Amino acid sequence: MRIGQNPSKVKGSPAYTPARIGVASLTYVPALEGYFREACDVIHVHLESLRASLNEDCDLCVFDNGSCPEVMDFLLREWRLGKIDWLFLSHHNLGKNGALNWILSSMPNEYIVYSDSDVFYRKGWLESSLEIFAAFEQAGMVSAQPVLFDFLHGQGRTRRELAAQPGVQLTTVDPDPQFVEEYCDGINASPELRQQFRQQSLAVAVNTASGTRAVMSATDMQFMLRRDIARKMVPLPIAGALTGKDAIEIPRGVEALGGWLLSTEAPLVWHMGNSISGRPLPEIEALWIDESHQPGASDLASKREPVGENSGKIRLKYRLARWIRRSPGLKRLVERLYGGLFGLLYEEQRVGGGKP
Amino acid sequence: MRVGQNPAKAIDQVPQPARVTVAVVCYIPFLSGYYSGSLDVLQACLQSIWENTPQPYDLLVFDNASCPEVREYLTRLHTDGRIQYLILSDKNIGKGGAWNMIFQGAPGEIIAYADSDVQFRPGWLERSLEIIETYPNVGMVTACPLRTPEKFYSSTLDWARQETLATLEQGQFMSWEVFKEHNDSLGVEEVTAAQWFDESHDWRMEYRGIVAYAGAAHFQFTSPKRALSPVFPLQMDRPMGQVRLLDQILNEGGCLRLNTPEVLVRHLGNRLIGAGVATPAQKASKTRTRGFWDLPPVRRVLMWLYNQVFKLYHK
Repeated sequence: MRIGQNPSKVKGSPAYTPARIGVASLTYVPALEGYFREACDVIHVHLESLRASLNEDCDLCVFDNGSCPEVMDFLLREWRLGKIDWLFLSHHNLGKNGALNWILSSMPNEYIVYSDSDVFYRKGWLESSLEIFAAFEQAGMVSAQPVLFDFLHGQGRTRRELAAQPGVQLTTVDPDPQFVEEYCDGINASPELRQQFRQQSLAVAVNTASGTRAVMSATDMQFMLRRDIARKMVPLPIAGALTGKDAIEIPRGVEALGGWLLSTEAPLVWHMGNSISGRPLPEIEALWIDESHQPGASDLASKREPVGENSGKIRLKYRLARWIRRSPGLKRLVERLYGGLFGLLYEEQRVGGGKP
Repeated sequence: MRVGQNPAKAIDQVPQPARVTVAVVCYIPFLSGYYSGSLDVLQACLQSIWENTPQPYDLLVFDNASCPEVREYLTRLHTDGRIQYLILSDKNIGKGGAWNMIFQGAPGEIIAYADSDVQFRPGWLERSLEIIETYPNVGMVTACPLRTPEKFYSSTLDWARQETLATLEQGQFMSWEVFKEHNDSLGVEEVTAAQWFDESHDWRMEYRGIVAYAGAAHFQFTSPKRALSPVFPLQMDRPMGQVRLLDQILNEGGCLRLNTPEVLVRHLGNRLIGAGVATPAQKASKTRTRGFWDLPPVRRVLMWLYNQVFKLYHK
């Protein structure tokens, strides 16, 4: 039976407001062996780089597609530390598109960022991605790395439509050779493919009014979408756990809804792959050195304080609440006080006032 | 850098989700006061699902920032494979916020939702599905008889009046015992419940040989996902109390809101009293004579303090 009043129903209880940006990261590590030997470290670097790169409060969701206990333990630890806002644990692997179907249909944020869990984030990726959304009206899927690979094999509509767009100029640029090597390392490109990418130029669209530039392609490894587009894209068909066929469904779905596939000209994310070694290693080291100085997503969230009318009073309450959360002794004391009050109000009286 | 090929690329088949996703939302911020018996209630809820759902289903639990004891319990169940999908939220995003995430994402064609204080009885899913599969355009089916405000099921009555194959009767079909049991679970005093019982009535309908009552409740319901998809996301501005929006939107959209004449689920409330199990704290509890603490001004102050402490904790 119900005894007392559910305190959550009290008028004036704080309500949840989603952050403008929601980032969802997908993990799948069946065992820490072979290909996945360094997976825990890779995920750790991925999450730390993401947090260090954010200058705005974001909701972070990690979707685990049935990983091994070690990875689950790691994720649970990160979640307990308040570094992950939503930890989604699936008991079995639903496939990348199965997970994307959940993520794209349920994330409540205005912009949804999807990321494989082996992506390294550099500062400025979010700002540059948002700049592209602002400059190109029909930007549908924006990746934070110039994409050398054309997933739609020349069948896409983005280039054609942008060429006909007033206020947009098309041009080509040669990518930075260092970036090409980094890109090829990330995907373990064959010597032939590496050679092909070295000689390839990037097709770039320029908004002549703002000067914003965007490469005309995007990748399923990391991308950002508006929620309205995301909702219309699902359900994505699922052919397997991580098939190329499934990967094409995302850019294809975006274009079918009239969205353009774009990416930043600068490599603001880096595909680490399954091993943390290679050229950008100093960046990873710098991340650990800088860690204490960089506000992570959760730190930003906890520092988020209300502004506006009565903000001084509310701010004081937030600070007090934060203090209670951080101090186990104080937390226990507050719980005891609450329990005592509940006892006086309801416990022995055994009659509540709830109306159905 | 990538070394070798990701073996996941070789997996060309992934498990298909079950037709039914059973979704439970729980929020137990600590195990004292109002919530002192909530973990026992949650355990009873999940146990009753496992015991009384023979059909294939995936169990999804959305934890809305509960205390460590509850999280440990849920993660253990997930590891053991008893919960297929576990969503752990770092903050309480409200029942509506949790609904927004689970109803839009859950992969089942049918979604059976329950608060974490609901006990399931044998046949609950079978009867709910029978109604969904027989009646047209069903929005939600609650697996127990309930009397809910008529304004939230006016479309159901309109349909029954117009459908030549359906019969519709008004009367006191639900027994007092059944009505009282539910109201007891809500902490309603017997006198008040008796008054409500006398002043209200049921609408019973039959269609293609299947009997159902009009009305449904949001503490437990089964819905086809296609009926829920256009409704979500709901706009919510406080953690609880605004979920009536679902009832309202479904009714306005012409969806049927029905319940079963049989009591196949039961609202447990925040204590297992009367459910056949009592916690030691409940056993030790004694009736207190009303005194100083029950004086209205004192209670008002205590209530204010009680709410302030909770709000502070909740932030």
